[in-house]
Amino acid sequence: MKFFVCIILLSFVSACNVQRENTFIRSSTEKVTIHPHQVLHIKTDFHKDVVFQGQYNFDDIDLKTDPVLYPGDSAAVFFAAIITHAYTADAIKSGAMSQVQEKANMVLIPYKSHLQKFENDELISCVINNVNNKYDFQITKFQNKTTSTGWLLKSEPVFYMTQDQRELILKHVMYVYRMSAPEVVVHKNIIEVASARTDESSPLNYWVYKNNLPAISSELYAKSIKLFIDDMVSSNGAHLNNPQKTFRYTQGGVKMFERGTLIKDECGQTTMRTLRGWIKSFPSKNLESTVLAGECARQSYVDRQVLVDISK
Amino acid sequence: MKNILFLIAAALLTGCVTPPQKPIEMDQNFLQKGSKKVGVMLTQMPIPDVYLPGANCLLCLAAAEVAVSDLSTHVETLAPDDFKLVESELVKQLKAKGVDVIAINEVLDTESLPEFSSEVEGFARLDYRGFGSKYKISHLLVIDVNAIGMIRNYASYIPVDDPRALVKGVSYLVDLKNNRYKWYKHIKVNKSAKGEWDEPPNFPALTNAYYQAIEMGREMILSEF
Repeated sequence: MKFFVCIILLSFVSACNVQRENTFIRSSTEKVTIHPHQVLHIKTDFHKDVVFQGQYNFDDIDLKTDPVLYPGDSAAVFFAAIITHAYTADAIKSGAMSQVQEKANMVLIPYKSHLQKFENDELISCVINNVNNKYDFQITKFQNKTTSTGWLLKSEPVFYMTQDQRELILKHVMYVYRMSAPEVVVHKNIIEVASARTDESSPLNYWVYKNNLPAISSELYAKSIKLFIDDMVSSNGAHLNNPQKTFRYTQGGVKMFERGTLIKDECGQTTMRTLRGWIKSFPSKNLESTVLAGECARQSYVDRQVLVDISK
Repeated sequence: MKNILFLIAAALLTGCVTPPQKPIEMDQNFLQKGSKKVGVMLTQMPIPDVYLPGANCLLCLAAAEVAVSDLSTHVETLAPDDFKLVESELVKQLKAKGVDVIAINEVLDTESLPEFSSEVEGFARLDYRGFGSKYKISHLLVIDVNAIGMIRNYASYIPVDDPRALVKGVSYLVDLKNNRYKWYKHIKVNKSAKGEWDEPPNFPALTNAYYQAIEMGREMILSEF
């Protein structure tokens, strides 16, 4: 009887278990060849608001529990108690992670009403033409499935604002499929791109009233698409021979460390591959003891004529 | 009678427990004042391991070790050498601040040092004074890492959190005239993996956290000088 009570209890506990964030994927190393006559369609939830979150720290999740005595009436009860404890511990862990994220999101409260004016469609529209010009194949927004040729790029961007409100970081999950086989992922990765730091006295003024939030978000979006495509189509794996090292840089006023290999350091932007195979790119001046590369002319990807205005 | 014997035994056992050394703050610009020569020394770095506190019973520990066996195998392949850079970094940093400092190219074996007893708090429990004449230094700065690798907390059989990278140790400065601590700091860094951690065989997120913990541990020491 006790065994059945435990099993029933267990099923209740499992139901409380919180789903984990699903933006963690393994990168794939398969290279893709896109021919000049082909089209790469970018697909996302165009009419949904751009996702913004507060940057959080996994180390803020602190879990300590006391040792547990399990009931030993019978072997069945004993094992049921262990399983119940396991599920409870997992639910507590997931709950703690949600709490950390909720707390981190409080940084966005002053921006909330303005962010509702910014949809994925607007994020992409103001950069699509300039990104398209970089390649000999065509890049367009996905309209509907009218063709079975070409490629589909599924885009899931999430922007994080640092807790000091001075930097934006885009974590962009992307998957590529053949239009003819939209259920098979042929390439995937997460590209993280960080903005330069603003020293403006009022971050709200800088991001909202000067309309930098949509402009910089779109710029980061364009850079991430370019890094992703370059990595996907490039057969040049020369950087894979670079030695592994720990990159030391600042982000949101906090020292950060990331182990990986250097991909490139040009135009004031350092790009590296993490141990997971993800690509990270951040301003080179944020790096500790960096030798800054020479200046180079770099044109913005953002078309100001198309940029949405969130300041009103 | 039994009660009296128990009390005597308890008193004797209590006498054996040495309280842990409390942190000691260093006076501002202490190393720059007067004519001091500092030697910097590292103890033997431990082999990276997976630590499982809370798995208190023998069966719990055995179950926990089986559960983390893939991770243990990987952790054994990680090098702790990046932490050793702290020695040369410290020397460079102190020299830049005008301190007369040298790196001592000998691994400090604390077990070979004689004991030092003092009734007064704030003195080292091992006798470091011999290093003064050996290396012509007035102060010895020791970096002693005693645990490096991963830690996963357990409540008996059940893991209560995900594994984290761990760097744990102490760093201290001893005045070699009198064996007194002039500075003492506990170093403890726990660093979580970003996102999913259970990715055998290479555990990239935890490996990254491991190197992050090493950097953070070094920072904790360097930031004091």
